[in-house]
Amino acid sequence: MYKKILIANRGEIAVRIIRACKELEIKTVAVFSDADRNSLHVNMADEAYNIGGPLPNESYLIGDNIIKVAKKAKCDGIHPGYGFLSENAEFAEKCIKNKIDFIGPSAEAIRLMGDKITSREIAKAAKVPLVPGTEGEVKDDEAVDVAKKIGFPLMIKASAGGGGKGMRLVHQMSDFENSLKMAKSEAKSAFNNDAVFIERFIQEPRHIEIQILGDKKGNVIHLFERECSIQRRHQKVVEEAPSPGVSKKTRELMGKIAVKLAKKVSYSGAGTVEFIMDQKENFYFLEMNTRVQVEHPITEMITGIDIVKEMIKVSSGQPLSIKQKDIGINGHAIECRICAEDPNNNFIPSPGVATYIKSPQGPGVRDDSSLFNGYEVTTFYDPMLSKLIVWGKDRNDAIKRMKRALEEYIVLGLKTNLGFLNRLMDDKDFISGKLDTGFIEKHKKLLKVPKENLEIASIAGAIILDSASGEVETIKDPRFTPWKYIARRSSLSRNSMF
Amino acid sequence: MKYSLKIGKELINFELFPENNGYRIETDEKKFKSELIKIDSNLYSMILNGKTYTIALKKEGKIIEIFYKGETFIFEVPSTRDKSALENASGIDKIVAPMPGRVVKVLKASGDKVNEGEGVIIVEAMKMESELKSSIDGTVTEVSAKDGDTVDLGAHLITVVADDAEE
Repeated sequence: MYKKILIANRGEIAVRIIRACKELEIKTVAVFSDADRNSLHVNMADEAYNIGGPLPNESYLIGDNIIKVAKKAKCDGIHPGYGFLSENAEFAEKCIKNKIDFIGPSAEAIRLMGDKITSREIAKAAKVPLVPGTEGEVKDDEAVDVAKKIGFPLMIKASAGGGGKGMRLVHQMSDFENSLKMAKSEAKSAFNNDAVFIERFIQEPRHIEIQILGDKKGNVIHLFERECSIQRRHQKVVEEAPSPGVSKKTRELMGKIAVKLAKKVSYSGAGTVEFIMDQKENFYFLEMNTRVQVEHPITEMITGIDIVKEMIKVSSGQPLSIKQKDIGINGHAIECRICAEDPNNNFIPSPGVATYIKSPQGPGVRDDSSLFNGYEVTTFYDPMLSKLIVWGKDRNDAIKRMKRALEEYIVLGLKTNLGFLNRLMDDKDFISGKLDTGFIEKHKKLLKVPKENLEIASIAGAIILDSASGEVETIKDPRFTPWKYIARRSSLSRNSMF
Repeated sequence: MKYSLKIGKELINFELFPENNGYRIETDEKKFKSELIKIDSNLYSMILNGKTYTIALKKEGKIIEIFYKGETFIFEVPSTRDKSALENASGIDKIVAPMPGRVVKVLKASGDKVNEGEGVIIVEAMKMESELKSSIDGTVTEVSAKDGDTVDLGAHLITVVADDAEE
């Protein structure tokens, strides 16, 4: 087992990995940019080193500097988390070359499965169902014929893409050539690579993914599916496990296929095989994420397996601690990504300082957060503040618990999606479980703030105004006690309503 | 006491009457009984018509930030200018002198078109010049001051009427 691990990441996932290490009695080393000196992960790790400027490419993306720190601090492993260097095969190779384990799959597996086109080829060879489409980059001169063959609606996607960049939905032939041009130029500016591929667009698709775990001895298991259909800007915002739209039969089939695919590339560590599924449970392979996923906690909640600990153990050479036949689904889990963004303004990130934070507590609630009073949301990093996860005995129970937990969450100082998520938990279509990736688009009314909420907030505001100092009378004394309250009530009892 | 809060382009008016440990509050439409107690640095407990609400808030200068049920509302304590502009959200902006002083220059004449945020008159007080702006798109219908006039606080200067307003 490892003695000391460097966490090449920031935010909640760095905190998550540090927690796993502490429980495994492994020392931790944090790295941080100039913007993150006061971050939670820096404080929680045993050691911490500055690695440069606030922009990711000045710090968290410079693999060589991170390896230098790991060597200096005598680390025997590096956990990359998600994003940043987590799917960078070259970095994984360099770690090994420097005799430090990269906690994740082999560089070879990252290379094969990380690329959308090669992963499709491998999937095809393994007879994994694929969305009808081009098998590789589509050349300009053949594009029109290819589009006709695949049929409309179709989707143009950047080969090196992710996060919705370089993506275009085309409904008819007359829009095709123009959309192709735009997708290519977007891909060029986002990834410095204008290669695109084309595939059939699935109507009302659900995003379903299978969590897998492999060890270095050739064992691979799956931990069932997650449904991640509630998305905005092509990014997930609410995830749940199991999916309300996947039958037992489909679940077993998807799991088997995901394991088969992972075995093709001798996959070890945690990974996710993503599928797109229509409302009739026809599913097609989308891509594989060769890292720990943001939404991994919901799988942990229903299976009882600590995915991050398991990743560390298998990377150090231990076999998987569980067998497929011993894993079952217990209850239902939901995750909401709490983000600093404005739902009323196309969910654009909303920077600022969180001046006061109070996170929910109580049964079945887990808050994987990097928030603290004074936390600043900058434009340098993702605006995700926290992942609120709940467990319930069934889906209905979990939805009600999530609503209760969201109501307890207080984030003062930032615009967040908390209010929207709160209303989502009350929506009859969400409760019915008929989800697809266009859900938010179709339920725009959930973005609107109820008038009653404004009324209640404004009354509190009016009371605060009722004194030149901006403090209401009852709070002038910070050591306000119930005894003073009683004393004042009795002195005013002549006018009392009692 | 009467109070107003501005949120976006909306103005909310209240009248507060201290009562027991709290207040009787009257808005244009409704009446409430309410009390507010601080329970942590920015955390407050409000009882409103018998129902409880947890609210976080921060007041800084004229800005009051209030968090309730997942939403952050940013209220502003309106100035006299804001109030008259917002009360005339129906489409009439009666611009008055914000302080006693002297009219430096009238920038617009009756019948001129103006845009929201465009300056209409420059006044001077305590050796400081300030340009008063129209809060709406519209047409100047009335000018009651001329260059060099001495004006009292609240004196009417210029009226702008929105093109689609009913007068």
